[in-house]
Amino acid sequence: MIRWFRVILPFSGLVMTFVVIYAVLVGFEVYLEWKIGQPLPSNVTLSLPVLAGGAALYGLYRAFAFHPVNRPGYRIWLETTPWTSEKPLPLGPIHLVIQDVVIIALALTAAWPRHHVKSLYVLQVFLIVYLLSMSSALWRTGEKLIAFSLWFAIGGMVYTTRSFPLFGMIAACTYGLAYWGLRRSLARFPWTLSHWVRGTQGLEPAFPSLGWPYNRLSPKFFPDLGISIPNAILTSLLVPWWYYVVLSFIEGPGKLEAAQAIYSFSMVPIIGGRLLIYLTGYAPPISFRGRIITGRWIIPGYDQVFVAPLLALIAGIWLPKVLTDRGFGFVEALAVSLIWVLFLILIWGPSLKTWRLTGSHRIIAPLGSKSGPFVRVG
Amino acid sequence: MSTPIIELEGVTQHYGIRPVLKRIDLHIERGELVVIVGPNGMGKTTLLSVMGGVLQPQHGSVRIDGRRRRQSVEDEMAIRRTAVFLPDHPFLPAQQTGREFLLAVGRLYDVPDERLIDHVDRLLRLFDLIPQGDGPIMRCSSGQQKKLALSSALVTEAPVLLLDEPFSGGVDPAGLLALKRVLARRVQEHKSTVVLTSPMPEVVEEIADRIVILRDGEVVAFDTLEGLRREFGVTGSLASILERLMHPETTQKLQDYFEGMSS
Repeated sequence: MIRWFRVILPFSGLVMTFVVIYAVLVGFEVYLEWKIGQPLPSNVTLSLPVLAGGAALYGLYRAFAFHPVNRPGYRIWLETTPWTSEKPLPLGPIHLVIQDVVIIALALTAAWPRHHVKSLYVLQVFLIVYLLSMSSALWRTGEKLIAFSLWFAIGGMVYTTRSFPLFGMIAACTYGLAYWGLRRSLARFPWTLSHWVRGTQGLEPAFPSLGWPYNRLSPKFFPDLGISIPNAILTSLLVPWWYYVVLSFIEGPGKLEAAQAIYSFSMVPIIGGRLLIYLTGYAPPISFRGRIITGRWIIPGYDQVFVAPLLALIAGIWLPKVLTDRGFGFVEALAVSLIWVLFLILIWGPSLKTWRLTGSHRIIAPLGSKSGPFVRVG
Repeated sequence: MSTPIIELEGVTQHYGIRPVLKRIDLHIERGELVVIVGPNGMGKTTLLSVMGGVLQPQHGSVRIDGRRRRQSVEDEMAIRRTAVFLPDHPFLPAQQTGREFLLAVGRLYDVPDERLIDHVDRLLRLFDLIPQGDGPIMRCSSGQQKKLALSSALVTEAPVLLLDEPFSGGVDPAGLLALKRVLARRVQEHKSTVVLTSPMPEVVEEIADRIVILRDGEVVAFDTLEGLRREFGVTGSLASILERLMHPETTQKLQDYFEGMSS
């Protein structure tokens, strides 16, 4: 029996530890209920969240630990073997197998007597985390459209968690798509991976570890931070979709305030993130005082970097008002505005490559110290 | 004469309101070793940084091998493959070994593995970096780190080297000798172009084909040592030319000082 499970189970010590913790927790809750003479309210019991957490970790483990793209040593070794996608993966399957069904069924059986239908959350959490992890691997192996489709579909799964039949239907379709994507990506093995994913292979320089000046004045443009127009469009739609999904869990009079707060706070990483990526290590060519005194208030070659964030900020403030005036619901207006904000941030030039190579900036050395990743020479 | 490999036209640079470089015109030929000299704060590092693409001049242009810096993505990438800039204070990856670092830099510049592995080994031996070169860079002394940084510029095999103060930073006499010989040989035999800054006139005299004398952000002179001697009517060393050109007030101050002592 153990041998049959060993194909997909994590270390048996880890599994046993979890089982013991869960059993102790349930035992403690049963003892408390016996003492007070009534069932504990569901919001104070920990056994279901702990079991759901275990299911999440198991889902992450199943999609992550068995995929060669996540394990450079495994992938490099596999590239040297005559393995093809027609054969089983040597270290175990990535797709779900009967053992997974048995394990999740055991977890549900353990939870059912105390939590009844709510026990199904364990299955939901497992599937959501497993499919998220799987979609990340598909993205990195080049199946970007399928990965995007999965992220939209997983949003749908999260949106329907309170309706088990609907969740089941969407989950089945999503898993089917993920399985198809997995077959496609394995059929294309060995993959052409980006520098971010590939890691160190023999003499291959592992970006970005070469310090100053080689990272900033490199004759190769390593960071694949640039984004294609299709990916930008899909990202601009995906983030607001998830925003909408998250808000669907908030009920009552606080919903509009929560929508406004999440929207406003999301502006900071979106706009600030772009500025941070573009400006870190790329300073203005002259000081602010120099600009004022010399009358060069605007330096087009440098100030171009502020145009997209400024437009996104204006759109982010102005669009919700325009859309609500035109009859949109408040949450829907914010979600649509978020689409435009993201689109401007991701699409509006200059591209990162053009900026770094042709912008009128002053390239500066990274901050570093003896305790940092770099040592300053001299 | 062939097209200069480095051309600066009317380069003006300032951070605040004080100009650091003023309308610099400079043409450096292929296969030359040029040294920029001048007092501290007169723009030597700034001039080299402009050539190296770290700074974008407020006015004027920099061309390397016929391509203008920061003009287009393609031209800038081509220039980066041609010219390597090594600042006075580079940052090296602390955890990597010297050998790993040099191999990674060589790969960055597409040096074929067989040649690269051999070259790295020869550089480590040349600069007495065996066995330290096989330990983490953070454990090397500052002089050894400087030699590793210099080796990284050499291992790229780039035809243009722009080196800021390569002879300072704790490099030992053997290292100085090795570096001078290597640079001279690359210029003579491989037609590489080297532009460097140095505060040491005796070293400059020994290695420079031509010398740029910079004062207050302007090129005061750009010639061979012989040419400078003729131009300024001085028969002595570069130090005496610099003394006359750059530090006349120091000579006067010294005279005043010694007169004060004897009275």
